[in-house]
Amino acid sequence: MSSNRRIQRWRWLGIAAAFAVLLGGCGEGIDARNDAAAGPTGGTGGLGGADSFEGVGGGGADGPTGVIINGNIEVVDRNPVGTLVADPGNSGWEAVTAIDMSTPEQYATLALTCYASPDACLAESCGVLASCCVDNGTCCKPLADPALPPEIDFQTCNGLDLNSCAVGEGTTAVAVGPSPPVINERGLILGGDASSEGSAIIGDPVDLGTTRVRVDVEFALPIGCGASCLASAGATFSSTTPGAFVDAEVGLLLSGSRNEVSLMIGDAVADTFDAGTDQTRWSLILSPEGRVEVLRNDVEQGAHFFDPSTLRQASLVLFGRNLSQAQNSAAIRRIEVQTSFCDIPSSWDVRAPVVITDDMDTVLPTERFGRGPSVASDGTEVRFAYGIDGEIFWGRTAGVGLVQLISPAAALSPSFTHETGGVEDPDLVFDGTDWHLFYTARDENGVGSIGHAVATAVDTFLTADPSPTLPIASDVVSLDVPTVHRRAGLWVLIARATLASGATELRAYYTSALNTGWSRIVDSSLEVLTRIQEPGSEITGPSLVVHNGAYQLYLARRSGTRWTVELLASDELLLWRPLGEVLGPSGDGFDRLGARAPDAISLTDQIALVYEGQNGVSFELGWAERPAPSDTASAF
Amino acid sequence: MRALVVVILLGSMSGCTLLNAPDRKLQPPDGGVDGGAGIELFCDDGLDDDEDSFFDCEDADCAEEPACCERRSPTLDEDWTAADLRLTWVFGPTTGNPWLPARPTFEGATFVGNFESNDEPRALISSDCVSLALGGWVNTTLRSTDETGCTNGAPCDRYAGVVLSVATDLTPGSKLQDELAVTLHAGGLVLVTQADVEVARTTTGIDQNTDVEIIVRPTLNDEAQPILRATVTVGSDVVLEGFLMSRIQDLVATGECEQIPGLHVAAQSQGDGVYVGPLTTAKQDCANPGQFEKQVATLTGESLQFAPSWGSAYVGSPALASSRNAVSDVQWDLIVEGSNDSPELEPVAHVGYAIGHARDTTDEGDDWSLDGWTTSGGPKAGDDPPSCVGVPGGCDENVSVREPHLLAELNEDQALRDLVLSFAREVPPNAPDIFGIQILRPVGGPMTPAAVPATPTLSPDDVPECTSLRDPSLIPVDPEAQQGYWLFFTCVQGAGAATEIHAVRISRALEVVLEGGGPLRRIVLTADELGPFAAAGIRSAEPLISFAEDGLRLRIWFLAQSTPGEWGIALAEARSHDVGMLAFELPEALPFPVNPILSSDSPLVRSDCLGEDCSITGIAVTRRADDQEVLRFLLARRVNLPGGGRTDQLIPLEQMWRMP
Repeated sequence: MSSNRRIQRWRWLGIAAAFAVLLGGCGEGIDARNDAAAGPTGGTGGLGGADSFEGVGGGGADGPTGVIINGNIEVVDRNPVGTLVADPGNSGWEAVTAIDMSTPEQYATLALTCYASPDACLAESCGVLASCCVDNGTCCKPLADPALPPEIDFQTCNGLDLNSCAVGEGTTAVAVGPSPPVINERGLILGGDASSEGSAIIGDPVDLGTTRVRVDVEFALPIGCGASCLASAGATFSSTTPGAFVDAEVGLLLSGSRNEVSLMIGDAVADTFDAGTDQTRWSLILSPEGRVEVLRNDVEQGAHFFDPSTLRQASLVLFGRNLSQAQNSAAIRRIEVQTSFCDIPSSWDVRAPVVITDDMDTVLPTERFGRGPSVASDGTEVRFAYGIDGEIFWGRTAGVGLVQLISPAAALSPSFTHETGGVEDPDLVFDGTDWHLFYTARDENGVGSIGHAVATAVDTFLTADPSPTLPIASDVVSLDVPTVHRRAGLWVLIARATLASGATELRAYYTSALNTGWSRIVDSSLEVLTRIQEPGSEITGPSLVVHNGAYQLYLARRSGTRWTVELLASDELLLWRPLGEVLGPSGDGFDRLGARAPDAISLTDQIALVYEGQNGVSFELGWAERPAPSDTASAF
Repeated sequence: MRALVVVILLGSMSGCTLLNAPDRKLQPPDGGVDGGAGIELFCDDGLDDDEDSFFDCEDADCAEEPACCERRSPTLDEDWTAADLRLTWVFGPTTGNPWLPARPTFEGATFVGNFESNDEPRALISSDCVSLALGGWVNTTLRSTDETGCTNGAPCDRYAGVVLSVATDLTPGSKLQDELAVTLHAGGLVLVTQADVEVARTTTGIDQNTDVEIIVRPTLNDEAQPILRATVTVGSDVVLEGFLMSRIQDLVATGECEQIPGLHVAAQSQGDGVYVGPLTTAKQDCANPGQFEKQVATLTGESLQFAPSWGSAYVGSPALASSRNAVSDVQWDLIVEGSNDSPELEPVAHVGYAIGHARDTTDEGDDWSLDGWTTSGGPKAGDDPPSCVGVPGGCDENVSVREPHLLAELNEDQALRDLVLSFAREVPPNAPDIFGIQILRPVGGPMTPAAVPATPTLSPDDVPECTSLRDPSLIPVDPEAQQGYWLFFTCVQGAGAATEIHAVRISRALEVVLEGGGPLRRIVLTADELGPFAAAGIRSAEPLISFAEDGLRLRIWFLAQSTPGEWGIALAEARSHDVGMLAFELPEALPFPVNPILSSDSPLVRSDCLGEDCSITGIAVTRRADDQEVLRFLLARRVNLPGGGRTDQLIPLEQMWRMP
């Protein structure tokens, strides 16, 4: 355990201790949850308060966007939680249960509380759960090379032109408009008049879909500005290049004549505050999940919502209108900017078709129709597997979406009776020595079981076990689409089970060694959340990774004919936090209608995902990437 | 909230074609047939809302609703006899060798099948899609001549059927992506599938025609998203009922479906011995309030000859009234707000507004002319100039007036009896941007000024929940307005966008009717009850009321924004058999399920825009005096100009309605 983690653990213990006190009087709340959890489709629970457990009702809803989760707090008594946690030694489970008098149920209660609504994880008490760091604009990592300057003190640039001032602060500034800005002892004074605005673009664009930004601004209020004077200054983010006007998509604007500072969203006033004085420090905090807060001298004034999806390349623009740009005009004295990036699962910055070549780099056009792609890394290379016509092929990646086949022949073909219907849905895993392949093996009747094959680092082909590693049993009539995660001492397998009733659900299994068989995780909320009983929809293609201390389970959901990729997060495989759709139709190209069959890989500060893109005529292999900090959960 | 009427078409509202001409022809609710005091509010909820013993579509109240509409407008009629089917059908897959279907005749009709392949599906896919978003029908006949196959363990590898799809091609070896497919297999098994997954099945006889009908109805799902549900009848058996077929947003919205989204229809087959007969499709010919016919005469402040001194920087928020006079078929009165300063300056300075009046007395009944308008020149009400941004000394004494509304009171000849003008006006003068409501009568012609009284008809002090009252509009309480009016207005409660529209009772003498010491007031619409399309605010109600023998129908068009700055036009409707209630009460207004009926990114709003910077600034609605079945709209939009600057346009639109 790193010293940082130890420190954080003590912080967790403190938080958990506080919870324990709160929990002392919450017996009714726990009972309520127990009752509600008994049924798979119980109603939505209420939430008494973000930081307490009082008044917590039962969980209830499933569905693609529901973040209200079913859960049975007793699940922690029925499974080896300590073995299953995603990040042993640093888990919320260990932090909470290490407290005297605390119980496993209290941990479960905490998790259910934090998963009870879309923003419940924002509560400080939920910081103990790494799964709460996902899709959370407060769990972020400072950018190593920020696009925006940490500070520009315009008052110290008195007499300089804007660009010289910016260069002195280690950044760039581009003035826009007929009258260039002026810098005097009051600060930066933008030009402009009644028919146009003066503006200046600061630094480089930022991705507000993944980046948390805090902009602190100090305005110099205009002097002697009456009701009709035109003196203003503002700081905003805009996705369009300023012209005669600035699109204030989310920003602050000082009005001299109104003596107000307004929060602008979508070029309209969303909220207004008294302007204060020249010493007033205004803060604009933009979280990538779409929340914007305004602080006045570090005191929150209001919170609103904006649409970060339209601001993936947003420029910081300083703007205003000052007819005279004189000594009494509105000015910006200084700005400070802090930027960090967060794990926002729907904010992919790369989506591209996969191109597969042979060992001569000749493109193999029909391979793009491969099914059930999988990627895995051994630390030096990333391998890519897919199925075609009942066989499995594999290759090495050579860049974003580029795959070179290891062999033109299939890496795995049906060899045994349980595979006579074909092998498909590969899932690659590297265990530190060998490559393991888990896959759906179909018999002559199409009944699936989970097969396993292995290859050394230098093997071209995989060698399959003669019998399924996970055969069908009891109430299951077929198993398919496996995903496997491995860490020291633990293998976790999740597969789709088709039940005798025709319903399907995802079930999770674990083992310490592949040759000892799999144990099923019982009463996990995963099964309830993924159960499908109607032909109009389907859940398949799970992909399990551990990233930033939490399990992230990607899966594909079909609604009618359309496929989307959704995400669930968990700290221990028992209680799951649904995060809804994270990869949907792009509206253009090979995946314009949807995406399915995801397989994710956790990289340093990044998640990569391979999938099948849906365009209405065919499904073609695709590759997506997004930034996602790897080590912020502990500091969350 | 639930919805009265289902579905309209989102977006895609550029110039109308005859094919998709406005066709809202509402019949009188009940027609005096059923007896309940209320009205069947929801036509697909399985309940008898008005307790007249008629449920949903059984109730004549629902006859024109998409959930129940039975009037068909053909969109495709294929008998497979054309010499070259390639003129209207795509032969898929389009890659590979050319092929031709067999076209046998059974019982006098031509069928297609045996697409020259025994090992992969092929399809004849309609080149254009057929509109289904407002509901529709797909009818065909299937026939198997082979009694073997797909039974007793035999493979189901020979089949033919009808497919509804977004796709215009298929991948070799794969079936067409099916939003819904009805497929007859050799041997007589009929499967209904979606995404190639079975959702229903039945069997039918060999060597006999089997009629298939797919009925598609729009409705809302639990998340208030508009969807299509399908009912499939095979022979005389309903094999699938109310099945969720597709979200309307997932339908094809190009080509013939630009205005009413739909799907491609296809005949898909593999192997021989199974055939698809004549194929017809139709769309519902009932409600479509989201469809407009654009008129050519786009007006501007300049074309209306309003003086630049008060309208040079902005003209918008129109009000429109129609009447008949002795000279022409119809007379139009148009009142707008305007300013010599840009509204975009409002966040940084106080902008003043005035209102101007224009009248066209030469309309011959079809389109507007661009000239021929008599205008007030200067403001009809308000100061000239109304705004003084950047002017030393300013004009602090000015009273800004804006957002006019006109209610035309007509005699039995549809001639103008009175014009009732309402508008928002600042109050008191030294509190900029705090507005009350002023109502005036008579208004007179354009040259007749309307003085702004010292005190408003309705002040924000009268409505404690609202800091400012905006966007007034009036409806009469009875056909002659003898009992007065309901005044609708936007209740502004803070700095951000307004979220509520209220109404206050006004007497014939234009005085506020009191109730319990305050105005008799009702909350008409609340943004957070309307759905995502109004999540960021609502304003500018434009109501229109229709009186009939057995009830009233109130329609309220209003502006709604899903995200800040994305204003669209939405519609809500209220109905009641109890006309007398209006003296004291308003019927509950329920939103149409597919709002907005005109979105900010529709071609009508976006056409000729620079980038994406066109915005809706207002909507006016009135009946044509010369044809009460036709509604005339005036859409105000603000358009960015190349090189900076903005201009404003007033775009006339029309819809045909039938008077309830």
